[in-house]
Amino acid sequence: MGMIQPGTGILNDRDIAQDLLTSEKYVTGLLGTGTLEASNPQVRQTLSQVHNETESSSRRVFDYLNSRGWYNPRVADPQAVSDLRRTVDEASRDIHRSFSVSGPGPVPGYGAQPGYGGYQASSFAGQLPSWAYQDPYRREDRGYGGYQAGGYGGYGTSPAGGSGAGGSGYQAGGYGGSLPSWAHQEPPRREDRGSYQGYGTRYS
Amino acid sequence: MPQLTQTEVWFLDEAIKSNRLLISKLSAYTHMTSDPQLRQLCQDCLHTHQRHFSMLASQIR
Repeated sequence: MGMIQPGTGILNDRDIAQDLLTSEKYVTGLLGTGTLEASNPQVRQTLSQVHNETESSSRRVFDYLNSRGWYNPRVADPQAVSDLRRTVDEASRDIHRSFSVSGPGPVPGYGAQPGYGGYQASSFAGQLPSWAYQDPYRREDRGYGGYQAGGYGGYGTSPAGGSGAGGSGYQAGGYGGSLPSWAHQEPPRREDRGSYQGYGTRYS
Repeated sequence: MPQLTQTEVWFLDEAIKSNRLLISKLSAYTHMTSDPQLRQLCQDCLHTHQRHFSMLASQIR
């Protein structure tokens, strides 16, 4: 009852396009993570290029489905949007209070709006390099070297305090001493993590 | 060839297998679809993934 009998499950155009989108989305996600994890510049460059092009393919398939009325993202429930807005307001206030953010104060109706350039906590002011005040989500500014040399650089090497490995922006000044104990622990070694093997569905 | 990390090998392996499967599926879909627009889309994606397969494979040669 309701089961597709063997030999009758013929794929129609909608099935084909939906399967294609599912596959493209999986590969896009895989390549995005792979790009971030790669340390070899050549591999990273290749994964990044393949990722960007696969993302474009995903968009084309989405647009096709959408134009046929087969993929219609639902408009959010107004209550859900309202709840989210309240969450953002609360989080913005917490951030503003916890980090003594300078610069523009709370924006009416939209919380503190610290902005990523606004993380000028009083204990940080004047101590961080210029890149620390830039928007971290601007891809072209990220620089994978920054992952190592920046805040994450001293992650596993400086057991306590903020004066450990030089160049570690997040451990500079007064901030380092206020980190919780777990922040000073060495993260699990890559070979011990094992979780990557479980990433998504293996196609093999 | 520079030495690759375990993580890089895993991602390359997974990406290569995924592209190989997509190439197989898209080859079949190109003949199965009745919509010319979808057929063209499948063909374009097929060529893209064939190229990606080669690019990824070249990283381990």
